[in-house]
Amino acid sequence: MAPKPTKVTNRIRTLRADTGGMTQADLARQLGVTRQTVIAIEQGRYSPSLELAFQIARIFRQPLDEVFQYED
Amino acid sequence: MDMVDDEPLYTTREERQVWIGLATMAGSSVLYYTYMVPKLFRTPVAEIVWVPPLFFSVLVSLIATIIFAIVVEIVVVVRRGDESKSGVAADVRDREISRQGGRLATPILGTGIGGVTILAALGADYFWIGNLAFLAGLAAAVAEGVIKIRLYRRGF
Repeated sequence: MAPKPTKVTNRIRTLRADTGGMTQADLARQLGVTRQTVIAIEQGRYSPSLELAFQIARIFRQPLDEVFQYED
Repeated sequence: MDMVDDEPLYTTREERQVWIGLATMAGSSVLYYTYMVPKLFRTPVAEIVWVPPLFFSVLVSLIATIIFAIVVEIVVVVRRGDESKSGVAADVRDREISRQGGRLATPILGTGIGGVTILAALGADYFWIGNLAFLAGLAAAVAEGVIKIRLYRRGF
């Protein structure tokens, strides 16, 4: 399996589950992106822009570093 | 969590268009070079009829791209449902991939145009000038497509 192209990890999947089972489609709709983009972010295949990252954190009512982490 | 969230990263409409563009470009250029290369060994360059075949291959590529795009989208709608209902055809990720894909295409095309200018200045046969322009455009488009596919599949 190829190494992930980004060191940025995230807890979006867990947070979706904690928020009453929010689907990827629900999150994508709220963000105004395709569901594939949400899948790519969750799988660590796309580092979202800072703006998109803030939008995601705001939807889950979490600080940014509770949603995204940077591996050393 | 529903099972639909465990799906693999399937293609967006933008990515499908890149795949289709690559496939039709490959097909039409193979068609052109299959016709042209043997002629190059048998016929003097000045006598080779190259303009109609070249435009024909470009036309075939364009028409095939449109037809394949329509057919593929119909198949996708039948199999996965209408994605356009989400209201997002292309998003920030598609735009970033599009921008990064063009980064290599521009210098390739620029180099090709430079080569065309040099050939014209040296008074080369129109065959070489026209074909270098075609090859530069093809190489730039293929490079752009390959980079985009890599970014879509591997991530960035």
